[in-house]
Amino acid sequence: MPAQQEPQQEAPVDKNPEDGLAAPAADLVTISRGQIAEALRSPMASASAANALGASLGLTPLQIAALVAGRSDLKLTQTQYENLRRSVTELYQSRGTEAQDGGSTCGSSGSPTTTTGSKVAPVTTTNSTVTETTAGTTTHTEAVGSGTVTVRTDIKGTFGGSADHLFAFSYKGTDSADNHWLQFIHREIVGIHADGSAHPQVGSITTSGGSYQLTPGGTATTNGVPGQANYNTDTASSTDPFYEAGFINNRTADSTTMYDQPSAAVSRVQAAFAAGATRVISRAHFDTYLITVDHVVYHVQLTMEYDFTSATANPAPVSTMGAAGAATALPATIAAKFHAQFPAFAFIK
Amino acid sequence: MAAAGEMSLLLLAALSMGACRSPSSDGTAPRPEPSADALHGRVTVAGKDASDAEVLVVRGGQVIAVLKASPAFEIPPELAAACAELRWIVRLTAPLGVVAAQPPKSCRGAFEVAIDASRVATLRGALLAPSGVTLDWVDVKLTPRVPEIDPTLVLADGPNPNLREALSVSRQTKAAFELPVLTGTWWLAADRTIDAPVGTKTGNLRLESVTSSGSGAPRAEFGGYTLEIAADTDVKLTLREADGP
Repeated sequence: MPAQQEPQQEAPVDKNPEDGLAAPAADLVTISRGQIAEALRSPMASASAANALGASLGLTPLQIAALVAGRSDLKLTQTQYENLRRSVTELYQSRGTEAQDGGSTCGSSGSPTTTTGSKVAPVTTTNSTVTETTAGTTTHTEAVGSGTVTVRTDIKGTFGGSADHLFAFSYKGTDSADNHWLQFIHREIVGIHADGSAHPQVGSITTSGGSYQLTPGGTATTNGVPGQANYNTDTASSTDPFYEAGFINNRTADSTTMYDQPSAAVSRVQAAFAAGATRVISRAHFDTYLITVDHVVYHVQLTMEYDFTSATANPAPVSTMGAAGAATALPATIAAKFHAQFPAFAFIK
Repeated sequence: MAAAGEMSLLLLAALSMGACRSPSSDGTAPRPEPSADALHGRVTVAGKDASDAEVLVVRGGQVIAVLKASPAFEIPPELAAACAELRWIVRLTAPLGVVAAQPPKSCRGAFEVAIDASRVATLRGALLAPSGVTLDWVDVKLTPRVPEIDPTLVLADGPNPNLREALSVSRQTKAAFELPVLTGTWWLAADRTIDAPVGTKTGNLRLESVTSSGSGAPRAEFGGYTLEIAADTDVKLTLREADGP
């Protein structure tokens, strides 16, 4: 049987032998009956969805019934857990299509809570992915709605990995559960040749959430102007556009903080040197929006630049904050890309 | 007498038939009928038409026009008139390569760029993943190093300063690949890069080393390797896991 579904050894359970639930193996992922019950209370839950998910895990109808009835925890191997995540993602995608038609949208900002109608679900869970070892420099603080947005740069932190030049956007307020960060990235790789001429690189960047084209037109001192093809919604998920859906962030009961430090895109930088550059500038540009429930309330721009003076250099990135302030909508170019990538979130204008 | 509408339809049908005409069985497409005053180009490789060539028209080190040779190409009158002072760089995708064409002897008539069969070789590559890593895809990048052609021309993205990352970036989804290339010196790189914040585990891969069956050891250069391809060549690309993007 692919799924080992059974009560935890330590917890009191009403095990029904007729359920045919196998003993757990080591290193299993446990989803408790309480979590299952909470999920089943969701307005999105349905018997058919539960049956479909159970079947995708290889469970028998009897086993599914035991789970739905709250008689058992669910234990999964890592492989089964990944399969479950995939199934849920597919479910999200199908729900996303419904949302376009006025249906509900499932799962935003990495939260298992649901979104109904044309709103992003509140995130009531907390997490602390990033441990800051240096708080960095606060470059901007501004009151927004019933809370405060703070921009910091050059934070050092650990999060499984580590980084020394993170920037962070925080929103702190009693309504933080209803606030989410929606970030867009575009990149430039500009080779500067011995005669001083600037040669922006063109080509596609692959991300876990989609691909986009490098922005042309930049020089050593001026930025290229991005078009729709150059922007990308900066998310690790193909179904959830918010930064917190998969990239590093901390969320408390009254705050949400996203952290980022783009790479230098070293292979691209090396290719620019191979093409004759004597200096290469790698810039990542961010347009980041705070979304409250269903609309844009704030916008902040930030650029992080790596300046390679040789092919063997290892420069530290420099963060430069751009415009910041209240906003009511996404710019047309960004909105067009966003809605093309995430049509289920077209209600965010 | 046919009505005007019928004539239009007849003309349209005739033009459509012409446009859809298949190449002849030897792979040679129909030749255009050059007028005596015009300059008409054509690119062939091993005696066959190269239907995927680009011809960069260069003046003073700058690309001023990109002509598509499919396989014939029309040279605009203003370029034809100045043909003697222009350079003509031909980029091919199959076989992959770049050549500097001899300028046309006359600014009128036919201008044929012929690449000899002896210039075509097969590059066979094997991608070796680190232990425990399943290859899903790897981007293989190739750029010819042609002494007489500046890399900014080899990689030009049209008549502007933009440059491609490599002449060819092909996403390989199997552990072996085979590409027809022109003989010469090549820069070869390979990676699997999913862009993500620093410190994020994305399963990225980098090129660790390259070995070649050809003469001379590949030289590490700019994240890739430079190697000589004088004939059919086998290369092994050993990949390593990367710390980040």
